[in-house]
Amino acid sequence: MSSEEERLVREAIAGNQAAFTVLYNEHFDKVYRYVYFRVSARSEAEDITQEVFLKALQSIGSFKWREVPFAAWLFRIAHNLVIDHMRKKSKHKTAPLEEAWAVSVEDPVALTEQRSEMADLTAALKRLPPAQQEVISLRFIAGMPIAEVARILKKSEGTVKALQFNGTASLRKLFSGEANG
Amino acid sequence: MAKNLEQIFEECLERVFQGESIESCLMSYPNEAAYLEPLLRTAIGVTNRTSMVQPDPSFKARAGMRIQAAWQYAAQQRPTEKPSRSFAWQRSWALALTVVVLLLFSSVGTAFASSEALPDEPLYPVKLATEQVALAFAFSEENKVALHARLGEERTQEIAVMAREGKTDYVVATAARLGHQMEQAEFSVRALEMKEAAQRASVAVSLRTTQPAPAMTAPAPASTAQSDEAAAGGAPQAADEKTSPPPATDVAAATFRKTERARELVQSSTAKNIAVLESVMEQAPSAAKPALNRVINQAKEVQQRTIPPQVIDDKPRSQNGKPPQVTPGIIPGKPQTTSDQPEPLTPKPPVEPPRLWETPKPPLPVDEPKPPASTTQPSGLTGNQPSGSNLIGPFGTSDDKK
Repeated sequence: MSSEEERLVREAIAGNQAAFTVLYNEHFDKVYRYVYFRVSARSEAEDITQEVFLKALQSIGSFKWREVPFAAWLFRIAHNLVIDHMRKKSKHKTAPLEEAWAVSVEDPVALTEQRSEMADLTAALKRLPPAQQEVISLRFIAGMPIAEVARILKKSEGTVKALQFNGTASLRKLFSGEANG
Repeated sequence: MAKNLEQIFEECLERVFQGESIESCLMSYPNEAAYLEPLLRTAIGVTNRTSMVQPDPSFKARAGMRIQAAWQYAAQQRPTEKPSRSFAWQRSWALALTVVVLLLFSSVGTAFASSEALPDEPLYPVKLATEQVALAFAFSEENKVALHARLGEERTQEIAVMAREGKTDYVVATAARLGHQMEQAEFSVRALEMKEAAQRASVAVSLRTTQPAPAMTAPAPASTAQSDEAAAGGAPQAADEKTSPPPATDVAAATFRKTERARELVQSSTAKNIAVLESVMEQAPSAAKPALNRVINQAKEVQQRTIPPQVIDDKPRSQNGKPPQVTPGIIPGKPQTTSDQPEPLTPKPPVEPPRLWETPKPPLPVDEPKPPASTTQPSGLTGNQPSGSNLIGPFGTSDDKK
């Protein structure tokens, strides 16, 4: 954790709302992105993301910065809430993906292509085994370092590296399979 | 010990995430390159594509307001306690020691080199730590305002560079730091305003209560009337009066000047920041634009709230260039009766740093009409400012501004 983030976390623990606001702004988008690709529905991702920060707010007083970095602590909350959500929700056909990305192109053809790529990506992630999906989501989507992914999932770094490697290889095969028709 | 493929993949991945090219990484492992390259490209592709996903700004604002409400509710449930400054104080000294050790045992150039570091460079944390040391040694509020304003401008320049280089995450993180600097600068201005208000009230009280008893000292009742006039904000007592002018007046005047300078500094600094941020908006990556917009709006609101209040004072102004004496609770122009006297000052509680959504409120007398609501609108935890806050203070209303 950087010294600046450490200072913010300490101040948030001490009750400084402005400090918590800065942390909220720094991590909100990443948490949302991670949750979105785990649940694949914008409205559910919004609910869960909000819940993550509410829980973080409730528990900030008991956060011990020496034990785990703040981002890892936050994503552990997100990971647990996603798991709880999936347990409650019965498996069903994937609903049409709600557009949740910043539209960076105006050309209709390019926009359609962008939507198609995003749908393929989400579908491919869904086809990974749960353990690989968790690692890929935390590592590539949330941008967490390997050590923090291991802390969040309570696995060894060696196991996480293996899951990362195998998950990426699986994605590669899925994309290649789709490209080859 | 030979690394296995998974370890090599992770090492190359980390190097690519830090900015190194895939080709450069693979040169370190030529035997594995053919197998690793497609995997690295897949990983980078997933990272880049998923980074396009952004939360809906209106949802983020609503979520922020809900978090804010939950925070305030939790704060009300908690027993009032003075915020612990010990960690911040210890941390400041630890950082100070770190910088001193760094200077002693490493090249002096390191610390100085870090002053130019950008957010994506290894020395950037050293730069931030050095800034923290400087802040720890800024004991007066006016020095803090100056430093926060300077650091805010530094953050703005960093944002501009990161935006031009298309580094979205660094733009977003640095924009959050800029928001924090502006909040701290405004907080210090508020602290100066509170100090000024307290000193003015103290001057007013001392002027009323230091009227000499006729039996004990001169002068005659005529000087009592003059004391009343001074208390009501009129001309200060002449030097040849038997009752010497209270020294608190000079202190209040000095604080007034400091507050004015602090406000001007925040105004000019935020104006510069807004100009720079608006100029890089076009070049910034799309994903970074919401964060840029938020911090620009926050800067505009800080600018609005630090506009100096204008006092409508229809009493004869002082001739010696000192600021008009406005007693809190005395509405300028209103005939003064005993009912207009401000409430006796109560012992001030320890000054706690205002929360993001709290405005330090000087004590308002019973009869003063409520100032009109601020024109700024709340928009939750997106870096914008709290709701329902009239930050003009007791010295004027928004209608007084020209």
